[in-house]
Amino acid sequence: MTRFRRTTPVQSLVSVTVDGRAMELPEGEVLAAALLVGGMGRFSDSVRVGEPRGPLCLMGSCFQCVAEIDGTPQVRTCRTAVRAGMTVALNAPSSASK
Amino acid sequence: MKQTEIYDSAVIGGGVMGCTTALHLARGGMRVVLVERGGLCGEATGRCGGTLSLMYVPAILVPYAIRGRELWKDAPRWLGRDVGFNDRHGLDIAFTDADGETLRAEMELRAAAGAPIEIIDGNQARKIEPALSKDIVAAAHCAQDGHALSYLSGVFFHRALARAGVDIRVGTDVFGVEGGDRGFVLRTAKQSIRARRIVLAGGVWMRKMIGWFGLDVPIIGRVTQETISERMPPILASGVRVFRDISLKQAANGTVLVGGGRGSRWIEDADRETVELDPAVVNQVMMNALGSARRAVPALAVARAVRMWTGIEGIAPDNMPVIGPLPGTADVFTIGCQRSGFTAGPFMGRLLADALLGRQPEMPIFAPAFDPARLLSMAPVDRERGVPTV
Amino acid sequence: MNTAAPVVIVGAGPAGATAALSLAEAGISSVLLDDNGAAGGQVWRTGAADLGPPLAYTDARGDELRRDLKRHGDLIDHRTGHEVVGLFPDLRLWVLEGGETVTSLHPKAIVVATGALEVFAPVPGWTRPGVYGLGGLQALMKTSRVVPDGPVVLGGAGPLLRLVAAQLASFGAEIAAVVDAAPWPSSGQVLRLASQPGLLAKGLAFEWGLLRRGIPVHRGSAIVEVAGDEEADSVLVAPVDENWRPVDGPRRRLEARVVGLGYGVRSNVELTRLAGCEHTFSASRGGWHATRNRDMETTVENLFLAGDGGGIGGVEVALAEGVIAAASVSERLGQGDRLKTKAAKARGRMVDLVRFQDALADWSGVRPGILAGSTEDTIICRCEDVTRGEIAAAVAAGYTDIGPVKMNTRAGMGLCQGRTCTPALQAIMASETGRPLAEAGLPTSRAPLRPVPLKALAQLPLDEAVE
Repeated sequence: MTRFRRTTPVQSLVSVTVDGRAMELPEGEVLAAALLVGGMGRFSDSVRVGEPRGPLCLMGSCFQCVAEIDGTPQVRTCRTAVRAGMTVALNAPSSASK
Repeated sequence: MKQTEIYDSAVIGGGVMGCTTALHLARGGMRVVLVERGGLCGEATGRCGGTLSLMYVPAILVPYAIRGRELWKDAPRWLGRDVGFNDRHGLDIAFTDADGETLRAEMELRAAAGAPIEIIDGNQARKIEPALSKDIVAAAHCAQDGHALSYLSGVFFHRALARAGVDIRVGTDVFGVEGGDRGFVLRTAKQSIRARRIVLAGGVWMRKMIGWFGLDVPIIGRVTQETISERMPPILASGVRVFRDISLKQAANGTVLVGGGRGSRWIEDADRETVELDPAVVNQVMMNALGSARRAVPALAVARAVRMWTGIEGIAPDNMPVIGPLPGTADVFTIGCQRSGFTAGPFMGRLLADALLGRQPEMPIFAPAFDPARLLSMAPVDRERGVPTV
Repeated sequence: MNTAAPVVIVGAGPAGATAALSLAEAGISSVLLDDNGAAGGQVWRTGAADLGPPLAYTDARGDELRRDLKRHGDLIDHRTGHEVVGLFPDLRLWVLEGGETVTSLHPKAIVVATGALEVFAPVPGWTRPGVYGLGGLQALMKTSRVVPDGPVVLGGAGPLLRLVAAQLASFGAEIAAVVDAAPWPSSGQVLRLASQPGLLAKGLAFEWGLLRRGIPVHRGSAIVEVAGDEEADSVLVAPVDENWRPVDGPRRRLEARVVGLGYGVRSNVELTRLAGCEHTFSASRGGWHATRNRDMETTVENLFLAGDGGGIGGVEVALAEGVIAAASVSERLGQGDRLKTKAAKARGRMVDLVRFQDALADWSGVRPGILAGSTEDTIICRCEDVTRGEIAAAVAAGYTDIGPVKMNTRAGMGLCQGRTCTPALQAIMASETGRPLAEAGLPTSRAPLRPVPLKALAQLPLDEAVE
């Protein structure tokens, strides 16, 4: 159920794999924005309670929008641009520090 | 509490040594106050990696470390909570034949003192810990190793101490102690505290505390740096040390902790804030440590560091603990400054409490090797050569 | 790449970019580091070139700034996608590029211009997906022209609340309500705000944007709960007292598929804390910030600070401080006083601007009541899932300084290093101890400020001296 919409036409779409599913996302778009428009809201599970979490600050500070991207865990989707062929895993085993 | 209350014992310093001493004194029937400048287990105890090992300690302390490790394992019974005890194998590895020889000599002394340590070659080490590098030439192996969640120990001690009736005064800096006809008076920023007996458990601040009684001892601080990674898939099944360099472990939650590093500094003034800001310490030691970590466990190349911090251990020139009656003033005792003190800590505290309660300690605690009086005539640490390790 | 620059500027928002441009004017080269893809900071953030018509209420000075930086490319080495993850008192910096490689810079002078962080007030349910920062909703518009679909409720206080509401509405988003913790400004406050007629007019324009679209504004109220199955679907709005503490009174439940929250901004202090600068607390400037002398120098020699990072002042103050900092750096480097007149003018402007800022804070600056407006079970630290009850228990056990509270509860020890929860943590501690907010203290920051590959740190060249 999407909660966001895009108000400008998309220039060029590229193929991206999100949670094993093929998606067409706008090239160069902020990944978090593209995922929100694509209907994704729940990006990760919290470490202790396992509650659903999604993006909050969308400017690189809060780390709530992290996903595993091309095998690297805990990458901020709000700081990542959509690239052709990228593999995104939401709700991957989450991380915190000691 | 009434202003005029006189405690049977005031323990100054709330690390693992002070907390266990206070806990067992209170359980033995004493009225105890524990005074801590910051929070419980917030300095060396909470900042260390929580290593529980027999491979670090001077040989004479091996029996104490064995009992200390058992106590951490047994924490649910005496502390009321499991402190994340992780029963692991320990490996101390060497990359050169020369290091391998020194490692063997040191470990043989510990083995003779009762530690179940064996010397093995690189292939055997990799059988125990497949993540290890192929460059390893020799290793020491001990089946009794592991770690506990040191950073949570303060929370658990707090509950146990409160339940035992210890008056816990965190956030209370002691400026000095005066003797009086009704025992001692501790001067703090808040109200004064009276006690018949004093236990100094200040770790690296022990020198300052002993100074309150007109004595000077050559205890100095050694800075240890820690770097922690984000959570990772299981990489390391055992506690790994690179000989005289770093320690490496992976916690149950997947974070990997790298502690130590060549070039760690000795400091006179135990001001942690200053140390943490010193780029000479932060940068060089951290890079050495992470370089060694990668060399020892190549899979760590993909790990991401999320935070670094430092802790300071108090160390005596002979690398032995400072436990016993303080010379010159009756009813003042010290406990602490022990290499790998986290491992043996709960046992040392219990032994001191037993001695003060007039019970027969399970092992000698007022031993000449631990006696604070020995320090009065001792030369300061030679910073180039360091301290004896075994 | 110009590695000969003696000056490193951290942050290419209005303050940092202005500092770089002023230095260039004086013939001094600088390295301008920024984690974003384009200069402008949060306030003048932009997206790709082909986004269509400009966003409503957009300041054209952002594009001008980006053009000027390009024009001075010979002297300004603007490095995008670079995050500073370490800053030490000897002016050594660790710079993370693309999340992969780390370099070390060691310039003669540094201007920190890392701006502000949004202030969040945790309430039950605020951790649900569907709750975003006001700044975040704005960033989605600025970079991607992406807007909420379905009813939106925005809650918080201050100018950004109105601006975001008006901007979203201009894209046709359905703003169900704006919930403002502040009441109408008093006549005295309006009079003081009128000392900057241009800024006041801007604020009124946002307000008018809401009025003419018939968007309800609930004043003296706050969002006190976000409800929903898994993601947000409604909010509960309740009145607050003068300290912005939720109080009894008529409550209303509003449907909301997207919730925006934001109680203004506070100085981003992570770099100045790491460098060991002295910090002070000032309620009228957004709380804690590094102290500076009139030349914008912190207590660490040759470490200068311009913009919101030195106390919240807004974009006009940031522009003035960028000039002053550049003039100070120029003199310090022995490059003469070519910027002296310009700096004097900037100082002149600052007096009135700061007065305006004080009035703004007096009216809409965050009050601790809402920061501590959570319930026992509310998660305060989202990284480590620490509840208010756990924080209160630590305080009750005698832990009254933020360091030990963090260590005991793990609050603020997660991946975000406390950037999200610190104001709430401080306010809860103050509320539990009955002490002033400032006495809760300021947490330590620790390098690396963002996750950094171990291999990059291990191979860090020790001395890339920038001379």
